[in-house]
Amino acid sequence: MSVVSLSDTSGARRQARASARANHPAGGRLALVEAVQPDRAQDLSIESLLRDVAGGDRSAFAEVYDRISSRVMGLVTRLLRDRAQSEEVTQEVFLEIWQQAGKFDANKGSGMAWVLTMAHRRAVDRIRASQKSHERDLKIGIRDMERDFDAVSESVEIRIENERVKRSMSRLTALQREAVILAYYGGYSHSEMAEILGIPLGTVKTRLRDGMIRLRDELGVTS
Amino acid sequence: MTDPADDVTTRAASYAVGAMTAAERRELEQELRRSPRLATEVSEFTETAAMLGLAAAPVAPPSSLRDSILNTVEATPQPTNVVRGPWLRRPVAAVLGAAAAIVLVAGGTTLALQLNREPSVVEQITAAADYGRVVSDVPGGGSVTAVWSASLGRAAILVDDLDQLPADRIYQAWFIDSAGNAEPDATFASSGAQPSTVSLTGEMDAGDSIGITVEPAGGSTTPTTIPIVVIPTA
Repeated sequence: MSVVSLSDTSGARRQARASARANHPAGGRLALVEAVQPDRAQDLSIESLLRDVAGGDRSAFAEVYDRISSRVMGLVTRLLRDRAQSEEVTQEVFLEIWQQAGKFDANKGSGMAWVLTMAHRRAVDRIRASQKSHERDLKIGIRDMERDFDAVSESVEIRIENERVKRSMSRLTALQREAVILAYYGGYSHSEMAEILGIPLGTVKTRLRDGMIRLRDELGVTS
Repeated sequence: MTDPADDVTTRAASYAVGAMTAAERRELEQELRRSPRLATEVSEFTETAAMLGLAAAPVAPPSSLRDSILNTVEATPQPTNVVRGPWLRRPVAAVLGAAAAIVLVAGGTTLALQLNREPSVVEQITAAADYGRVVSDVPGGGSVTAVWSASLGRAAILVDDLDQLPADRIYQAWFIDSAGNAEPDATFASSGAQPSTVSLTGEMDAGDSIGITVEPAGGSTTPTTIPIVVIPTA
């Protein structure tokens, strides 16, 4: 009584992935989706790959890794700064992807958001566990953000994303922007932010909320 | 008094940017299922936060990290969620054995599994290619779900709402071979209304049936009563 294979299409998908790789020897990067035929592009979405990963497909997992590991590592490094720790956390994130892919639900959000949420959380947990947060410098958070946006990006897509986010961020008030940057890129909790900024907890929460509402609207995110 | 800053939108925004404490996070996650509005807000802010994540400068991990991760994944079985998959609907063989148990096709009972660091016996079993599962109602009340993998030689049962026994009695599981020989295995008390999992410690041979009897406290080496249920695994 063996279990019926769930995906007769996995072979076709593998083939599509292989041919996409052949067209783009550099692998990686979301830009490759646009380079292949539309029906194959569908097959090659992160969401579709995660479904294959959930079915135990290790080559799909390798593909996911090649596509997004630099984004995961980029975000984690942004938060942790320490190279060795960032590598450790990146490894944890990908193991979690492998083990939890069955829980990913494309109806609830994009695959990239699912992965980056895990990466962000693990990095933040790491910061708080090591108590390093108290030693961190408020100003570094703001300065590094500018540096990120000004960094030369090797992919057009990343540049465009950066421009979009940068433009959207510029629509926030300075106080809202500061709150969002400290929380998301700095990994600071409400109470840490209240302490650093010398403002009440409720004010921190309100600034974060108003900043995120404006960002969401500027970026055109709807569900 | 509820802080006005603790409304749904405020909390969803805080959650998405990771500003909550672990306790606040857990509390919110438990509410997600009950509150579609909270779920929508969280989902939108999570996508928004992901855009911030994508705007961080990419950092290519060293190739040694890729090798290490792929090796780890190669050696790590994927936990399988029991409630998924086509095997839930497959037909069940006729009942054999001493007691006339009624075997139902699965559907009513689900095994709620937590993903622990180490896969549990049930997770190992359900991840196996030859994983089998039968739900059997027990005459007199309750049900027993057996899961097994002949290739692993392991089996476990999930008992739900079995009758409470007197203090000097206990339930005992047995592996019964085709000749009718019963090998004693785990003993357990009734779980009451809360389903509980009992891992069978013995090695299962292909074709064994799993039986449950009521025995004197402490268990027996051979069955002293007629099984309340016998579940064939082949």
